[in-house]
Amino acid sequence: MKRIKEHPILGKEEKRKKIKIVVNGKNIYAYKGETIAAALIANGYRDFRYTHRFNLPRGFFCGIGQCTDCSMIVNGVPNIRTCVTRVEEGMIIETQYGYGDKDGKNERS
Amino acid sequence: MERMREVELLVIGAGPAGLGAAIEASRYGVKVLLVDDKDKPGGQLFKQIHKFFGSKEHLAGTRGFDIGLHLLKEADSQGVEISLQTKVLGTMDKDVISLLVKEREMKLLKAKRIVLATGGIEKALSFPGWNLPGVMSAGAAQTLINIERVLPGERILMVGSGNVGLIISYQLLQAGADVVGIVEAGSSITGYLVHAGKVMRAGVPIYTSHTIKEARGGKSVEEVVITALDRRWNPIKGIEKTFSADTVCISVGLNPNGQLASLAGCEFKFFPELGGFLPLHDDNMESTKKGIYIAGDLSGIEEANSALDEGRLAGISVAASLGYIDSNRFAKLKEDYWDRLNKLRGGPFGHKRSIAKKKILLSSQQKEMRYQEIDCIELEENTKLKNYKSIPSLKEFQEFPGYPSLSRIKKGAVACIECIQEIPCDPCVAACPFKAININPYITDLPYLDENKCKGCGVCIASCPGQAIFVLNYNYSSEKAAISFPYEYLPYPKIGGKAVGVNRKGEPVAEVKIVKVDKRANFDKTAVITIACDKKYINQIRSIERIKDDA
Repeated sequence: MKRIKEHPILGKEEKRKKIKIVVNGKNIYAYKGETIAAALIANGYRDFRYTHRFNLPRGFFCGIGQCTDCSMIVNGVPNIRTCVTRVEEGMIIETQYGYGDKDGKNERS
Repeated sequence: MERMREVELLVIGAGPAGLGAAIEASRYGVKVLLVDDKDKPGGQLFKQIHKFFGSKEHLAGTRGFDIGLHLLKEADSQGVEISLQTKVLGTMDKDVISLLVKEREMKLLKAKRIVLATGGIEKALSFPGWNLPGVMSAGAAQTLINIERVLPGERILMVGSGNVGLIISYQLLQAGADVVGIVEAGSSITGYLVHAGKVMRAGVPIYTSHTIKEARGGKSVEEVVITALDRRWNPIKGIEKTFSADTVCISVGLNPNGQLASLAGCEFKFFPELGGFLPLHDDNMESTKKGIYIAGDLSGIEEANSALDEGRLAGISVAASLGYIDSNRFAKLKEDYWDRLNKLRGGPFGHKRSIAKKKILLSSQQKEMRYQEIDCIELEENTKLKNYKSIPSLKEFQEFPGYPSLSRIKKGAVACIECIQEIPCDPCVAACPFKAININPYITDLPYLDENKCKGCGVCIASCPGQAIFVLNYNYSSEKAAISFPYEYLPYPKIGGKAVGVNRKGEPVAEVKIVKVDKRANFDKTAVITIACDKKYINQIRSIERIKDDA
């Protein structure tokens, strides 16, 4: 998707520090201060995790940390709610399959 | 061991209600701790980029985020202590409250009084594909576009035509997305017609008696199917439409967020008019649990102004109960707040809510609901709220007191107020330098245009949060008329350029010429565009097609 560079009410996009994050092994750029979910959606990612039983995609849903549909593995820790967690330089983000906790592996079932 | 901290008042939730309570209690000397689980205060206010309704004391006509800044300043000047990223886990034995700070540190606290301002939770809607990535709550999309400045998608279907659905559809357009339609299961538009008017002029169709049937796609939404509904809300076979869309926004109402109130042991009752189960409260906003007060969406889903006033009322009640305000003063202040709240709940839109609120007060006092019967009659009488499936006809608009007469239009520039529902809003009155607009005696009354006093200056256009005021100048030149209207999209049209004039439904009417783009600062980001067109379109053209490319 795209970032909103100019807005009739909010004006021009504020200059923010660009930082690098790693999503499934790929480097992407995010802005300091934004949530992981926002950075991912801005970079075209929508399927954040796959369900345990049926391996179905889930993504950003409630945006306020309540529904847990946007959970991903962040720096090796599964079940991180990406809509309320802000990006940090060098953060490693992975799609979560199931509970993301099988002996530390994140395997497709 | 460290001694347990004790505060006079703990306010939970830093949205408008919580801020209101904290500010007022502090003003009278109460030591307040305001906590919120998010990392910024303001609740949902900072993603509200539209101009708010209400009256002057509610800062009507001001954009939501500016009201948020104003409240934070007020809280700061009153010395309110705010603790963010602080979750309240519940109350434990002997009124000890447990807090979890930054997901790691547990803190225990005692409070003499508590105000719960925990807000509302958006409802979800289940349909095949509802859990595909790309389907999200409307509030989530609003956070993305207005806080994160990221578009959730390019082609969006909105489910629900209440004010939230209409306002967020409009904001999605402002952010640069396309809204392919708004579906409403009910037989008429449920939000304010002025909000519907904005999106319809922008060409967004509203499908009443329709709902979403399915969202389809592989890894995320690729297309959506909507279906027509009969009177009993059953799908009518064969009347389906399929759209290519990448996002579905759900705005089908909110429920009061009652988890903490429930844990605290407050008594709940079901009030569908106010969003469902909610804690009972008396006219001091005190719940059935002594010392625990509630305010805002928790005490019934309404809007930010009512939340703020309820919060302020809870704040002074706490201050009075702790002896910071004497009883006479308190009685006077309380009456003022109830007066303000009743005004906000006036008119046909607020009527059901206002009766439900009356019932809450009565049931919290364990009194018989003796008003019920009278209220039902009154409700029918008062619900002159006409149901609209779409934007009404010109003829209908002309029957209202804001539409100038034909003879006045022919005399030259005049305001044309297309505000035909009794909603609590009056910034146009104060905006007019000639006192040509009146709303009397109640804030929910319709605006009345004194067409002889009106000079057609157009200052009222940008003041109207509903964007329902236009200026018609029949005598712009010998052949052309000029029409001025509010415009909040980028890019702005260029003076001297051509555009497609559209009617109230967004349908193209004729090619028009842009003659003025007024972006003066006190219009607060609402540009006022003036176009010239054939005189015969004076009662038809109300906007222009949005300009797609900045070419």
